[in-house]
Amino acid sequence: MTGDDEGRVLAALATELGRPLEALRPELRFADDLGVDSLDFVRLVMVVEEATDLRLDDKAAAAARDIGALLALVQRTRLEG
Amino acid sequence: MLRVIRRALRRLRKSTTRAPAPPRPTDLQSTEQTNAALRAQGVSIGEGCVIYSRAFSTEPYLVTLGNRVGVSGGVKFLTHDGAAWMLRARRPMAQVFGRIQVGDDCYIGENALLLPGTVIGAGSIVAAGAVVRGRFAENSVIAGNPAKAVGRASLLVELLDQGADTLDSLHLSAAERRALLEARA
Repeated sequence: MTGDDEGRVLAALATELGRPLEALRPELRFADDLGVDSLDFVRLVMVVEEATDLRLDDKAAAAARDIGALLALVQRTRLEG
Repeated sequence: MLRVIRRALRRLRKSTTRAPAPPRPTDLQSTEQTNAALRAQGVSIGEGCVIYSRAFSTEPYLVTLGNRVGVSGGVKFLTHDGAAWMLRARRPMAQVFGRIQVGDDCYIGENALLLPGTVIGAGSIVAAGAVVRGRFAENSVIAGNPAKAVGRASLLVELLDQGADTLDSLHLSAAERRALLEARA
């Protein structure tokens, strides 16, 4: 992943989740650690897509349980062009 | 003994005066009866719709539902704007109306309110309790008050499909479903 993508994704997540950027660690799980429900999650994916100008695959995005998995999906999607 | 008989009679009276249960989605006949009754009121309803709401406003003929639309209980379709009341001094006969259109393959969650002029694109999901006005693109998740598009419905469908709480239980009887759910707890 480009440093730009990672920075953009984390900044977007920090804004949406109302948490400081430095608190967002890759191992944090959306549902269990961050209290994100399914409606919150579709919004998070939308803001991540807007921040990176990418369209993430629905099935793969739904399977991303933590921040690290979402960052990895962004990286994969970027590489696949 | 007398007390036991009285109690049994009370129970019997209670069970016989209870309102009939709304049709279950698996009960095709009652679903079709409901849809036929709503069509007779003027609601335009496509094929394969399951509708638990009866609140189609005073102008039901202004509501159009596409094919395979699910409408939960408590959903309200409001086809007029009561704020026309404020015009009564200058235009005492004024009323304001608006059509409501829901595209194919949509789901409207419990207690959502759809206001006049609303157009919901195909494949969209309206979240429970949303207060919806305006035009929404296909494949939207629409939530909040005032409702906004918060993401893609196709993603929410994937989340549901992968969710641990999603069970293939629609074919079960109430007792079987209860047993299944209690065994999971």
